[in-house]
Order: sequence, then C-alpha cells, then structure tokens
Amino acid sequence: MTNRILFRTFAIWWLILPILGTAMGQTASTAESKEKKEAAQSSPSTQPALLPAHNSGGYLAVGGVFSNLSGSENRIGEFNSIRQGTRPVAQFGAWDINNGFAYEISGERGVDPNDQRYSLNADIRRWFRTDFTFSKLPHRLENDPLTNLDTAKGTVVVRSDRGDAGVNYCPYYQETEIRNRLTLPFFSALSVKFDYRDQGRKGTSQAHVISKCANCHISSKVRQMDQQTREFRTGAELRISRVKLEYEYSTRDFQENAPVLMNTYDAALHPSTLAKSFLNRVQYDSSNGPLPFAVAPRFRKNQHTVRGRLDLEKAGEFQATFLTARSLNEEKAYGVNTRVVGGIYNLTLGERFHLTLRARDVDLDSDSFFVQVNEPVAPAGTPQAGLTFSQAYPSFGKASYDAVSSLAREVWGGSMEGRMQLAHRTIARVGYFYEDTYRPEADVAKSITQKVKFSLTSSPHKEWKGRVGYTYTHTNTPFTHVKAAFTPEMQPYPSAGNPPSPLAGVQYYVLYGARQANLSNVPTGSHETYASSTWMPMDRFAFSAHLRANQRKNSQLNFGGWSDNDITPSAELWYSLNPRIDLTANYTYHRRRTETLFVIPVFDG
Amino acid sequence: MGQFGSLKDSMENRNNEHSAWTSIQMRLTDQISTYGQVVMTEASSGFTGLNLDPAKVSAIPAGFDYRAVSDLGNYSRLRMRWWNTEVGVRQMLGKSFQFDSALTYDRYRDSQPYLEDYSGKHWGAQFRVHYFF
Repeated sequence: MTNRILFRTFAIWWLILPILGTAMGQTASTAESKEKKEAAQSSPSTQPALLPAHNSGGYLAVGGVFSNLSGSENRIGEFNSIRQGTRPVAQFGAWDINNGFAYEISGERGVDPNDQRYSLNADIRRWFRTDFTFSKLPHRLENDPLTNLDTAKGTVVVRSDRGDAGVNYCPYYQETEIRNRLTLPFFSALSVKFDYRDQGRKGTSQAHVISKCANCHISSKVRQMDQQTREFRTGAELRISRVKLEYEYSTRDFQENAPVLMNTYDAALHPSTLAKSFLNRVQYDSSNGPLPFAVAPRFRKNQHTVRGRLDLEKAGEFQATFLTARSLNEEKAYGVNTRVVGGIYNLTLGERFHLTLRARDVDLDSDSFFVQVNEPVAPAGTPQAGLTFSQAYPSFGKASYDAVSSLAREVWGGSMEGRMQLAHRTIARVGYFYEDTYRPEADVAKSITQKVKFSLTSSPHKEWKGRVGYTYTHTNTPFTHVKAAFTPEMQPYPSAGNPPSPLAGVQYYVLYGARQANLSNVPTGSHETYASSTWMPMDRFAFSAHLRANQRKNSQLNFGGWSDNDITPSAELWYSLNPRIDLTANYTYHRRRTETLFVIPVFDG
Repeated sequence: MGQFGSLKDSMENRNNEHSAWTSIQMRLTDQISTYGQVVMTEASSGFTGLNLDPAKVSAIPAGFDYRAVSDLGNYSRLRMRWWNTEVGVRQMLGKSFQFDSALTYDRYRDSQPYLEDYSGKHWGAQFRVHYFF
C-alpha cells in the first residue's frame, strides 16, 4: 500500500506541476519570466535554475549532506538516497552548440553510493545522434521476521526459522542505455538505429522455502542477486512522399548470475506417529539432500515489428502494424509465440468532424510443458510400503501432467471513435469498442467485451474550462477460475485407525475436485466517470477541481459477488501573490472498497 | 478428524488515502530565491465484515475455533502518516557561483504495526556550491 501511496504522491506532483507551469506560462508577463523561458529553451534541463542561457557552458557542483536517521529506514528511505552521517554529493554538466555539432553531458552522485546518474547526448549535423544514459538506484527491502508463522495443535506444527536475522536488504537497480540514430546525408529519407539497453539488479533479497509433512516449516535465507537483462534493438525508417515504413528487430535476454540457493527439506513424517509414512505424499524430503530453490530461469525474447503509414490527404491516413515475437524460458524450453496485426484509419470530414477506426488481431500461442513429478515410494514398515501416491490412490490418476497456460488466447476487435467540434469551443467525443477473446486452455474459453464512451470538453469562456466523461464496459463470461473454493461436506466422521489416519478417508485431491464456488476479479460490468474543471478569474490565479469515480462488479459468480468501487476527488490551487511569490497547493482523497468471497474449509486430517 | 464442508462470508477491503501538499517559491532579489514545501500522506486500509458462523456446518473438528478467523481484519489493518517538509535557499554569488542549501524533515508514522514497526524519522541538511563556466 505504501509503495502505491508514494507513487501516487509523486505522480500527482509530476502531473500537476506541468499543468501549473503551463498556467503560469500563459499568465506571466514579466521580463523575468521571459528570461526564464529563454534559458529553458537554450540550455539543458539538468542545469541549475538560475543559470543564464548560453550556447555553451557548464557547471561543477560539490557539497555535502548531513542526515540523522532514527527508527526504521524501510519506508522513509525505500527509494531515497539517504545515509546516516555526513556524505559528499557532486554534480556536473556541460553543453555546446557549434557548427552543426551539439553535445550535452551531465552527471550526479547522491548521498548513497548507489545513487548515480550520468548522461551524454550528441548530435552531428542531424546526421548522427547518440543518447547515452547510466543510472543506479538503491531500493530498501523488508526482512520478514516470520514471527506470525508459529502455531501448533498437538504434534501438527507450523514453525519458522530465520536464517537472515539482522540483515538489511538494500539491492540496487542499474540501467545503461545507448540510442543511436544515423540518417544518411546523401539519402535523408532513410534513417537507421542501433540501441542497446542493459538492466541489472544486484545485492541481496530475502528468499523463503517451505518444508511440508510433518511440520509446515518456513525458512528464510539470504539470496544473492546478480540479475542482468540485455536488450539490443536495430531497425530502419524510410520516408518517401506520403509513405512511411519502419522495421525494428529486438532481442532481449535475462540471466541470473548469482549462485543458486540450496535447501535440504525436512523428513516427511506422519504428524502424530512421526513414522515416515508420508514420504509418498511429497516429491522430495531430507533423503534427497540439498536441492535448489528460488531459481530465476534464463529468459529470451525476440521480436520483429513492421509499421507503415500512408497519408491519403483528403481521403485520410492509414496506419498498419505487424508484430511477431517469441518469448522463451531457456531452462525448460517453454515459451509463448505472439502475433499482432493492427490497423488505424483516420479521416477528417469537413472542419468539425474527425473519425478514427481501429482493428486489431492478437494471437498468443503458448507451448505446453510436461511436468515430470518425482514420485517416491513409502518405505518398508509403513501402511503404503512400496507404493507411490498414485499407486496407493488409483483414482488420483497420473501425477505427471502436461502444463498448459491460460495466457494462450486469440483476441480480435475494433473500435470506432468520433470527435465533433460543437459551438462555443466545445468538443464532443463518442466511441464504441468490441473485443472477442478466445482462450483455448482456460476454464472460461470465450469472452466478449463491449464498451461505449462519451466525453465533452468545453471552454465557453476564457476564464473557465471543463471536461466530463463516461465509459460503460460490459463483458459476458469474463476470465474466471471455475470451482475455485467452497468444498461441500464429504466426511462428517473420523477416518479409520487409532489415532485416525490421514492416509484413510477423503484425500486432498478429492476435496479440490469437489469445490463449487467460481471466483474472479474481472468485472462483468463497469462504469467509469470523471469530471474536471479549471477556473482562472485573473492572470495570477488558477483553481482546478477533479472527480473520478469507478464502479466495477462481477454479477455472474455463483457463491457471492465481487465488486471494486473507488472515488477520487482532488483540487489544485495556484496563486501568484506578486511577480516574485508563487503559492501552489493540492489535496487528493482516494477511497476504495473491494468485496469478495472468503472461504475456509472445515477440515482436520 | 473429519471434513465438514466449508464456511464462507463476504469480506470487504477498505482503503482510504489523503494526500496534500503545498509549496511556496519566493524570488527575494535577482540573486536570492527561496522555497518551502510540505507533503502529507495519510492512509488506512484493512479487511472488514468477516463473520464466520460455525453453526452453518454440521460439526467442527476438536480444537478449531473458526470464529477466531474473523479477527483476520484486525491483523490486516494498516494506518500510516507521512510528513515530508523541505525549505531551501538559492543564492547567486557573482556570475560564476551559486550557493544552494536545504533542510529536510521526513517522518513516517506506522500507527498499527503488525510484525514490524516501520516508524522512522529523517533530518537532513544539504549545502552545495555551483561553479559555472
């Protein structure tokens, strides 16, 4: 929740400041504001605010930060560059524009050694442009004490042990990116690009592993992280007359270079008798020795994209996209093929009406993967000696199975949107969207989503402008987990044996197969509304108010509904008391209510 | 021992967030400007409305208290308040130097900690000199 709150707080800042900046820019008429604007246009954004505008220049900055921290650092410093004590900070920048050659270089090091940013942009007569960026960012993570995982009923025990007490997790995220554009001087219609991006996550994080039977034993361990994602993109863009063609190839791979964590699972024991009669109910126990866990598999994605645009002048504009991609888990040779075909047609009719037609066809084809289940046999001297679980319970069937993905789907659809200019600087927009989804491997195979939307933007007076909108979406049979919960009464008596044996009586797989309630967090119907208004009664004052309200509900579930409603009013104020003093303020409230079915089985054994 | 069906009820997650900020920027002279800002975020959330009734099943295994599961809402409750305050001064010293200074104060108050109390405070003071060329 806190991450979301933080994100929202800063997102609100970044959304509102440009709006206020625009309002200020529209109303400011002093010589000072002109100077600011000129400086902003002719110098890099990283330079200090009072820097005068020049075609070339630079700056060096050094300083120090004193920090005093008390209590937990995990929230106040989750993404912040803070460290106890006094630390140096530094910043530099330089730029030059001369004879068709331009460059800009900047760098900054914050309080935390992992808070760094560097960039270099260069342009040679617009023939060649390169943009390089490097950034590092620390991220404080929690260390779960697992103290809530400690309970017992007789010899049936849930327990935990913490192998990482006192460890402060603060891995860092690092990204290096270079983008290059080359436009041939003798054939400017063609440009090519070569881009490279390298993302890394390094440090440590907390990993959990669970042993079952006879205890539920949860352990935490320090996991080393040395993850790298590399992406290479290349492509070309050709513009001839009214035609524009683009092609891009990208390849991305992910790799974990840190050592794999190992764990020796507990011995599988009967919780009451502590005999090894539960060995055929698990895949691995202590007899298998150390085994890997929390493994991040190597991953690769290759993608080809072709885009085209044709300007038909008065007959409109046509855009088309074709994309094909292959995503692959290289450890297991398990992947997904993606194909997307899309088109957009824009047409302006007269001076007041604009029409946009869209169509899209998506095919996600997922591989199946054979899961080879390890099936140990119960040891001699136990009730199911020499038998695997499948042999002891023939109605269970085969343990090994083909895994398929509910991600596989075929989606096609389209939309029609119109924009009409009405009187008094008023614009009305209407739209209709249709989408047909077929999932060959999911519980609910087919869904049809239809959406209608309407919005009105008006500025009837120079002091006032407003916007309202409404969208209704209906989905018949949305994505649902069928028979996900609520097992009926199946064994209202103790199992055979003294003490009653979990090996006899109703087994888990029978209970799972008898569940009755369908669960989903996808709505069958949703209403989304918003309204926004800005009032500017004078040159140095602006007030905006917004309201957004959404209601989503799934009314097709058989044992209790699902709903999700939220409302968000907000307001901003900007007041320039005089040309030298600006005051801004904002308030936002967000209320959300989500309702769903809660089910707990009444079961012991 | 035994299996007596399932208990169910509808459960609601409630989430309320308030966030407010204000800032003031003053250009005292052509060489000196100052600013101040305050950001406050308060949020609370939790599950509520869960009322499991063991009378709705024929029996319950010995030693289990299903009504107690209803207190899940007590453990899920979160309440926090975060204040962030910053004031600063920026001054040009001639044409080639600029001096920045800022004071910051952060306070995160975890009003309903569960496993860990994440309350924390941070005082900070920053000084920086820019040289332009």
